[in-house]
Amino acid sequence: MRARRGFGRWLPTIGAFVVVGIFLVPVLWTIETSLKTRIAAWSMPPHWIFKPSLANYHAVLFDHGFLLYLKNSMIIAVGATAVSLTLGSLAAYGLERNRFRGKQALFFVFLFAYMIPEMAIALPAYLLGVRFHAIDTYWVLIAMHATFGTAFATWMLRGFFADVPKEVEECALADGCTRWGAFFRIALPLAAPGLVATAVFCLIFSWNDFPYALVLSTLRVETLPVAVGQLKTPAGTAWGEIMAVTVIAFTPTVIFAFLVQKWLVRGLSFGAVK
Amino acid sequence: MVSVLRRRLPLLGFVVPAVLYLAVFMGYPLYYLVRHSLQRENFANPAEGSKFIGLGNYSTILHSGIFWQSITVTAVFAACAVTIELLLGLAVALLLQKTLAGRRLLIALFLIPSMMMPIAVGLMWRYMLDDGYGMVTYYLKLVHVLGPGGLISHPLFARPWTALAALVLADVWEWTPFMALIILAGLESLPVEPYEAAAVDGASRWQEFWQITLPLLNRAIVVALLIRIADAMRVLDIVFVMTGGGPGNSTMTAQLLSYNIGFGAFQTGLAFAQVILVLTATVVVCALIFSRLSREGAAA
Repeated sequence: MRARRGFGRWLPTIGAFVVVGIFLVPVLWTIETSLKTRIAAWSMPPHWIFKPSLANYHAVLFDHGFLLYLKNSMIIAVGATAVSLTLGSLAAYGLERNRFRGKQALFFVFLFAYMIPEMAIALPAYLLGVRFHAIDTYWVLIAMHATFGTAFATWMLRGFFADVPKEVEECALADGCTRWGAFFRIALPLAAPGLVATAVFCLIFSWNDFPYALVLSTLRVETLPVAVGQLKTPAGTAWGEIMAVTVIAFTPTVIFAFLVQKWLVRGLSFGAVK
Repeated sequence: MVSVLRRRLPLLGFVVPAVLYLAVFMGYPLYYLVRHSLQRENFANPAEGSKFIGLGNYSTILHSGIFWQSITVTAVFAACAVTIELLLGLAVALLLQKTLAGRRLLIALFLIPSMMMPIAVGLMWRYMLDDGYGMVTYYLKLVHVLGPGGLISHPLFARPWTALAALVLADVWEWTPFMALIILAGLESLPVEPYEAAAVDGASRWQEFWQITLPLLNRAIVVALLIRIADAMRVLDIVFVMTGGGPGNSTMTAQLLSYNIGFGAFQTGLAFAQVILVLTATVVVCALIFSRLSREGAAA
């Protein structure tokens, strides 16, 4: 492509910095508010410079029991990710090495599954859960988060296994190695970066999920997204505290996203754009 | 034949656990959904029992005003949000592509919104747009966009259209980076040959963009669009915390209505029928968009 000369060629760079800066203002404001006292959070005009305090973090973690919600969210996210990766890596390997045709078709099946509103599964799952006494347990949320997780992991890992050369495995098979052995000793280690990236996405999906958790958890296993909504009470909204929870909630996902930046596009586009 | 089977059977064995899992935890609830959408049920009052009423629930839903209102709200929300995200995302992607320094850092920072918990995004915007304590509202009042005598004289969340616009704003803020990133990845994988040919033919920048870049980006754009439309059609989180469907029912989106009928009123049969209708609509919309866009792409 033809390049502009002189100062003009820096215009897109400056534009990009300005746009990204504008998009980050709300994040900055959220972090600032989380460090304000209740009175400062309600004062107008908005204060950008002030004496920060960790009172909101202390209040949500120790007075409002968010340590428990944090723990719940973590247990469910890790559990769902473990199930998804186990089932997904097996299925992906089986599909990919089976001279698999119809990748396009499978992608559309996956996309169709993605279009299903959460309530279409969460509401029946609630009724079934009541019947089997599974409501308000870690298991039901892990099981539900792992459905989308398994479909996603299968689809993503299929792409990653396709990137692993088959020749090494074929040699091992010819030498009498079983399929099982080839999978565990060769394919899985070679696809390790893909596994990590997929795991991070599964963690983020489960961590951020609201609809399933809203229907299927009541008290004991309430997760962060459900609990944070309840800080908005008619008696007055403690915005500082809500923003503190918000910061606690998005920090791990943002860190994880940085870690897998290389595979971000692939994951976000469900493997369709590499 | 036997040898083929022997080679393939172990591989099929790898797929079985996932298939069984999805059949039990996704398939069975979906089967339950379809079967019970044909029954009159009230979960709050099990003594009534359930009764097979055929398509009765569907008929009730299709004749209810709130259903059509929720469909309209959802469609308007999805159309506005996704269109703005696409245009803005395309613009930002083009900027990022031509960025000379700090691109990796910019992309990393730009992605923060899309990684955030949607419920947190909703709460954040609810606070910033609050009529009394909102930071954004304060500055909008300073420039007389909001407030008495301004362009909009009522609180944002007090009227249907401005409340819906606030939802669109939150969605656009969260998902424009997603759109931009996928389009940027598409831009970076474009072949150089067509551009060289265009330069030889003396095509203008504008022609280059419309006739080469856009058609070649088709795949990335279609994928991003389908994902975002599916997301927008089942939007729940930000609506739940920003407007709760109000004022009145003016921002009641399809999935919030499912939740209210099924979990608020416990009319599960009705909620199931409504969910199935919404899902059908989503699939039809996505299929239409896909067939339309990919045909145009093929022709170009």
